[in-house]
Order: sequence, then structure tokens, then C-alpha cells
Amino acid sequence: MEVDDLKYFASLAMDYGEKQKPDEFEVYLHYSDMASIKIENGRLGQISQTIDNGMGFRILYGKKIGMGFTSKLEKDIIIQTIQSTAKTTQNSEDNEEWEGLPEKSGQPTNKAFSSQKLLDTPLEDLIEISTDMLSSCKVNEAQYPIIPVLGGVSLIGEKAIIMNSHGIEAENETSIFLCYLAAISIKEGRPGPWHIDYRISREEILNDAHSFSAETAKEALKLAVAKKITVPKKISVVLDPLALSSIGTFVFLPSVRADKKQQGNSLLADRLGEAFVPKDLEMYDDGTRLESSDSSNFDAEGIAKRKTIIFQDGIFQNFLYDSFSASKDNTQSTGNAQRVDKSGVNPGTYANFPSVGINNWVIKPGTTELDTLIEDIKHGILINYIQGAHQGVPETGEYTGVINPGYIIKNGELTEPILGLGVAGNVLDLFRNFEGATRTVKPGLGSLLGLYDSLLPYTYFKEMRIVS
Amino acid sequence: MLAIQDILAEIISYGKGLGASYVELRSQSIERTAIELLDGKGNVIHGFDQGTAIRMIVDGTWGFVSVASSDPLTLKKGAKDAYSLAKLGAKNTREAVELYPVQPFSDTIKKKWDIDPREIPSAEKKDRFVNMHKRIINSDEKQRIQGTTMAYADITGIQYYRNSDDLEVTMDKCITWAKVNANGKDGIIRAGAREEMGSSSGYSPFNQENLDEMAEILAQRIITNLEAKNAKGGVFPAVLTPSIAGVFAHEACGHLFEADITETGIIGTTLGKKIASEHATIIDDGTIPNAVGSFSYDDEGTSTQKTVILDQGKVSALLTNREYAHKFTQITKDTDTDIIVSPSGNARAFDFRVEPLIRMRNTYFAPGDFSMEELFEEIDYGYYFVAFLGGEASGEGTFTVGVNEGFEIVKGELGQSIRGVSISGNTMETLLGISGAGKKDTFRVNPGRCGKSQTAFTGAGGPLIRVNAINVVGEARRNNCGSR
Repeated sequence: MEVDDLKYFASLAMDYGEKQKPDEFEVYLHYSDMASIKIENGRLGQISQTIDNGMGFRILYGKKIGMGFTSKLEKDIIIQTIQSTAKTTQNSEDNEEWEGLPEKSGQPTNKAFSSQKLLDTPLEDLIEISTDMLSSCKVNEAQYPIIPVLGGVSLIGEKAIIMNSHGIEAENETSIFLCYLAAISIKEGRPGPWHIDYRISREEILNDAHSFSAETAKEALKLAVAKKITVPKKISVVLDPLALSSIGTFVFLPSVRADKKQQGNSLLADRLGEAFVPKDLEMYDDGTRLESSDSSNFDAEGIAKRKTIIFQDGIFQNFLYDSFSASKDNTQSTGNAQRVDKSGVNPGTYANFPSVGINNWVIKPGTTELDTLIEDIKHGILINYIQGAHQGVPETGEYTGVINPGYIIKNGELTEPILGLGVAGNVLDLFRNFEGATRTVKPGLGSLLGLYDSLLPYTYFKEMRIVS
Repeated sequence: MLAIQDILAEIISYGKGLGASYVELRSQSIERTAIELLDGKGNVIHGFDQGTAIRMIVDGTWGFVSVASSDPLTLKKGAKDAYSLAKLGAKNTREAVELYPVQPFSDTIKKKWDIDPREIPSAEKKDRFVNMHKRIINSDEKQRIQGTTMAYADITGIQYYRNSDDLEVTMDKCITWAKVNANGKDGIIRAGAREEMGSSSGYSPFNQENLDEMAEILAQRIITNLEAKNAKGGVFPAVLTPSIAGVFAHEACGHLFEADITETGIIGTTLGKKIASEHATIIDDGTIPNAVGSFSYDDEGTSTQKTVILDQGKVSALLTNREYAHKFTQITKDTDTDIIVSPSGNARAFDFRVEPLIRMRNTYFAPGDFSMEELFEEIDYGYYFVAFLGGEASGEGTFTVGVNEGFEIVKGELGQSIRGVSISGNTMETLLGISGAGKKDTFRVNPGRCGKSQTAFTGAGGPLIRVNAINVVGEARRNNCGSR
């Protein structure tokens, strides 16, 4: 479906919406086309194409607000859905906090988030990458078998139109290539922990499938002998971007959302303008980075996405807003409205109400590479993934979980692989212990892993608590 | 105009004509209502979802196309695309997909829901949760309960399924579900509580009486947690309620018995072998009336069933779809295992947008012979874990479960409440350490969701379960806001 087709349906919906004589009306149209190849248990799996489209609209009578949606883009269905939503809304109660749909705000970056060249990639090329990933997931003369248990290659094109009765007319077009591979090694019949790696790009498909996969295999092989060992109760750690991303998603980032602050559920609620992390720990939300996945010109309400500083000079600088939370604080949206299926039972972005989300969580990179960062650590752990991080308590900043897997760092070198050690503490205490970050950053594969999208370096913290 | 089943039949013929060895179509027409409330205020979303999944095997490779339509021309194009995708993939496929054979049949499941959620006005549904919010907030005379977050959804409609093995199922579908989180604060101490409610039979559980009861449970849990002490970390005996036992049965055990995970997971080498205590019997069951994980047929048209995956400690069955049932039939035929693998009715897709995967239904420990007193009496010092916060497990057999409510057990008696606890460990070691299962009167299956790349409504539960040794991550978690 082309943008002009979407515009036709959006204009049609705007016309019929306004015929219901609302005070405000908004249409959100979304179309996605995803081609995927799956890798499962060492085999090429299903080849799929998923086309999803639909329309969601908000209709307002004073402070009465209603929302309807349809996945069927047909004139009669659209009209019928708008009419029934209008009727239901008129009979509903006021939402006293409602201040209105947003007006145009900010200039979009107008970066090219979509590449026709990428979207024109022949499916054969994607299949070839998957096949290369499968055949290259090996280590010569490995002492244990290695299996690529799960993986995939996807090419996703998305288009969205947002229009409202205050004059917003926004278009987003994005495209992205992503691939991931999880491999295990089996020692004496017992599978070791997964090693997972991934790549994303807006410009080109993976051109080094062989080395990507061979490296994944090498890491999986090392993990075959991972075991639980005893370490000191407080120890220096280097967090893989994936491990940091899970702590960020489940424990820290909810507190940066203005809606959480307004509900009294942010550990940063009364700390705006306060300095409490090291000056070197700069972090942002940035929905305009080409190299990250959740980037586009506009957010889900048609407000231009931007870079918003979270920590700079050690000071907590900003909360993130959509238009509703911004109106409650008498400020402007930061372009962080998202239409996310938060409970997993309401698929289709068009079927979800906008709320505050994180675009891309970014930490400013450092000046060294991982090897150099580790060289300075006498005794520590490199944590690749924290199992159970979703059990953290964002209201307090408490994280908890189990290292699965990680590596002991001894005298500046990675030594034995480990798993099963419990970690716990407070995320602000962890940030206070920030010692540095790598120059290399890695874009996260957020949506696939249930995490916020991100662009993170490896980060070094001088102390983390080990609790088992 | 052609009836939908006739359209599906036509597309299947078309797909077969192209050269596919197997074709299936799953078309849905669904009405959805969602309510999202923050502190009793929020939005109702209502709409319609219609679409079709087309899946086929060409030269031993799966092709899948999903379209938001049931229009014959769109489906025909979709079928052609699915064929082309599979055909392209087949050039690189080294192991051809084969399906476990089935007998042709046709069935129509017409349901009369206890209360059809579509007949309840959205405003009334919302009001019940607004009342629930007020009840939770006003439950504590010290006003320590601060806020709630609520999500409700009902998904009602019809699914038409047909495949090229002459298997045809038309089935009414209805799921009603809600999740309520509440939180409280006392000085720097914070506490939260969560509960879910759901049914596969209609709206009736969402009556004010049940919602009031849930409100009371949540409020009481927050108060208990605010007044709780920090738990000791270490290895201790524990008694698990159906809530915690269910999450353990699902996360730590059940996933390992999903045949796609079993193939490379730790259970793969233990088929037919005893791996756990005789007190450990685990069942995955799609037949429990009203439970969220119950249904008549799975999304490959296989009749649902009750599958005993662990029988008194012995690995007795796997959870399969038709592809993995065939695969494991081949894997096990030259071994000495007495396991008979067949399609177990576990192929589930959340909707037409996604393909069916092997998913659990309602997974639980079977009841045993122990009274609550007997389970407690042998414990000198340990824990009684009551409600869970979340869980995660890995294929190599490690798991972690967050505890939302718990108590000490001291000399066989219930002690003080504890907070800030997770349990973790190795699934096999923990299963071997199960030393008792409670009687039927302690048995319960709770509604929940599983997120193995797509959501599935799943139940989880059991009776009270006693474990001799479980790793408790405590002490370091203090449930406060950290130093400033």
C-alpha cells in the first residue's frame, strides 16, 4: 500500500469523523510489511510475509474521549466504526484531566528513515543470509557440538499517517533490516547457555553473515563450560548493552516517563535539576538516530521526534512527555507518544491509545574499546545478560536477577564463563558507580526482546552486589 | 457471495494447484474491547479485527502470509506469495518438513457465552474497574495505598480453519482478561501487588463481587508487604502456593517440554526417564472449563487434550504440533523410550497475524496427599511463597521467579511476612527436591499470559508444593529508594 492510499483513507476518515460534529478528531493509519526468514534448531524455518494495516481514531466531545479502530480499510467499515465510537463517546463520562489533542510542534529532522534500495532487496538475498548464518555457525575442531537454536532475518517497511482537527498532518516512512542468532553448545548432553547476537541497519542488509555467525558460534562454545562460582559480594562489572538495556527497560526508564512521575511512581519524581550521577554518564532519549530502530520523523501523535537530555553534567535534566502528560505539567510534548500493545493482548499499533514511551535510550560513548576497558579491571565480571530483570521495581529503582551468562575478569582478561549468580541493588546506586564506557555502541533489538530500543556502549561500574 | 469456508476451500485448491503439498487457512473476524486505567481514569478502545493467515508447505519448506482481509482476490494473491516464499526457501532447505498424519473431519463449535461481553456496554465495564480502584485505594485506613494500573480486554469472534487434509473447524472464540497492579508507600518503603483474572467462557467472572474480592486481596498484599521484613538469602526449604508452583510448572518446566525447545534443550536426553521426585506430576491441560488456556481445537485443527508431561517424576509426554509430533516420532522410534509422541493440541497462534507455535495451555502440578500442616511441619526454618511477580527460564534449565508475597516458616508454623525476594535455581535439581504435594482442596489454576515471541493466554497452578531446597535471593533487596 502506498502513502497516497493511506492518505486517501485518512482523509476519508477525517471527513466522516467531522460529520459526527466532535470538538476534536484524530486519525492514525498504519501499514507494515515484514518479510522474515526463521532459523530454528539448526534448520531454515518458515519464510513469511506479514502485512498488517489498520486505522485508529480518537473522537472528542468536550472532555469526553473515545477511541475506535478497524483493521479492515473499507469505506463502509470505517464509517460504521466511526459512527459507533462517536455514539459511545457521547454517552461516556468526562475525563477532567483532558486538555485536547496536540497542535503542530517542532520541526522534524526530515532524515531518510526509509530506504527504497533496502526495501527492494530480493527475498533471495535474505534467504542467502539465513543460509550463510546457518552454515557458518560452527567452530573448526570444536570439542562440543554447536547448534544455532533460534534466529531470524527480517526486512520491515512501515508507513503511518497522523491527522487531527488541529491541523496536524504527519507522515512517517521507515524501513529496517534486522537479524539475530542464538546459539548453544552441548557438553556431555547438557546444553550450555545461549549466546545471542544481533544486527540492525537502515542502509544495507548484513554483508558479513559468515563472520557474524562464526563469532556467535565461538562465543556459544566458550559458554559450554559455564558454571556458578563464588565471587566477592561486591565486585566491578562491565555490562553488555543487552544486560544494561534490560535493567534500563524494567527498572530505570519507567521513572523518566512523565506519566509515571505524575502518578507518583517515579524514583526521579522530585529530583529534576539535581546532580546525582557522575558527570561522564550522559544519557538521552533520541528518536532521530538513523542507527537505532525506534526512530522516525514523528511520534504517534504527529509531534516531531527529537533528542531529549536525561542526564548531563551529572544533573537530571528532563522527563519524557506525550501531549496528555505534557498538558498536565503545562509543558510541551517531547515527541514520545507511542501506541504500544503494553499487555500483549491488543496487537496493531492503530488499536492502542497513545502513551509515553522511550524512543531510543542512548548513553554517550566513551573513548576506549572493550579490551582496554577490561584491561584496567583486576577482578570483575562481564555480564552478558541478566535473567529475571523484569522482576525489578521501577518505583524504587531496585533491580534483581541472575547472571546468565557472564565472564570472570581477572587481571584485565576475560577468563571463565559463569552463570547463575544473583545480582541485586538500586539502579541509581549502580549509576553512581559508573566508571566509563566503550567507544563502540550497539543498537538494541528492543521490540524483539521486549526491551526499549537503545543505542548503548559497554559500561563499566566499579561495584555491583552479588547476592547468591 | 461465497461463504468464508467456501472461499478457504477455493484458496486451498488454488494452493495445491500451484504445487504445495499442504495448505491451511485460518481466517478470523474479531471484535475487541480494551480498557486502560491509571488510578481509575483512562480510556476505552473498541474495534474490529479481520484477517487471514495462509500457510503452506512447498518442497518441504513452510511459507506463511498474513493479510488483514478475507477477500478472495487478496487471499489468492496471498496464497501465491506464500507459495513463492516457500519455493524460494526450499532451494536452501536441507531437512524437509513433514507433518504427523491426521484423519479428515469437520466440526463446528458454536458457543453460548455465560455472558457475551459484546452485550455489556463499555461504560459499564469501565465503571466496574473504577469502583475496584476506589475500593483498593480506600482499603487501608492509614492511606498507604497510592495507585492502581488496570488493563482489561475482551476478544470475541469466530475463527474459520481449513486445511488440505480435509480438516475443517469453525469455532467461536471468546477471551475476557484483566490485569490489575496496585502500589503503596510507607515512608521510604514501597510495595506493589498484581493479580490477573480471565475466562474462556464469557464475561461472568467480571462481576462486582469477584472484582471486590480481588481488590481486597491486592490491598491486603500491599499492606502485608509494607509491614514485612527483608528475607534472608540462601538455600532454604519452601512451600509454594498454586500461584508460585504454577509459574514454576510453566516457566521452569513447561517450556522445556515444548518439543521445539526439547529438541535442543535439557529434556531432550531424558525422554521416558525419571528426572524428578515422585511427588512431581505436571499436566498441561486444554480441557479445564472456563480457564484461559482452554479451547476445543488448536490452530492446526487438533483436538485439545490433557497431557501429562511429567508423571510422578518421569518424563512421559511432550507438547507438540504436527511438525514436531512427526519429528519426535522419528527421533524416538529407534530408542528404548516408551514415550509415544502424537499431536497434543498445543499449536497456538495469538491471531491471524502470526503462525501457530507450540504453546502451553493450562499447566499445573497434580494434587497429592499432604495436608497443609503436614507440608509445614517438617520445616524448621524456611519460606511460604504466596504470590509471584514474574518468571523467566532458559533452555539449559535455569530459572528465576519473583515473589510478590511471602512468609517465613519457623518450626513448622507460619511466621512473619517477608518482601523483596526472588527464587532461582536449576529446574532439574528443584524438581528432584519436591517432597510433597498438597491435597485437592489446595489446588487452583490461575489465569496468565506467556510471551514466547507472541502472547498466549495460559493458565498455571497446582496444589501447595513443598521443595526441600530452593535458592532464595533476598536480603540485598530492600524495597526502598536507595541512598541519595
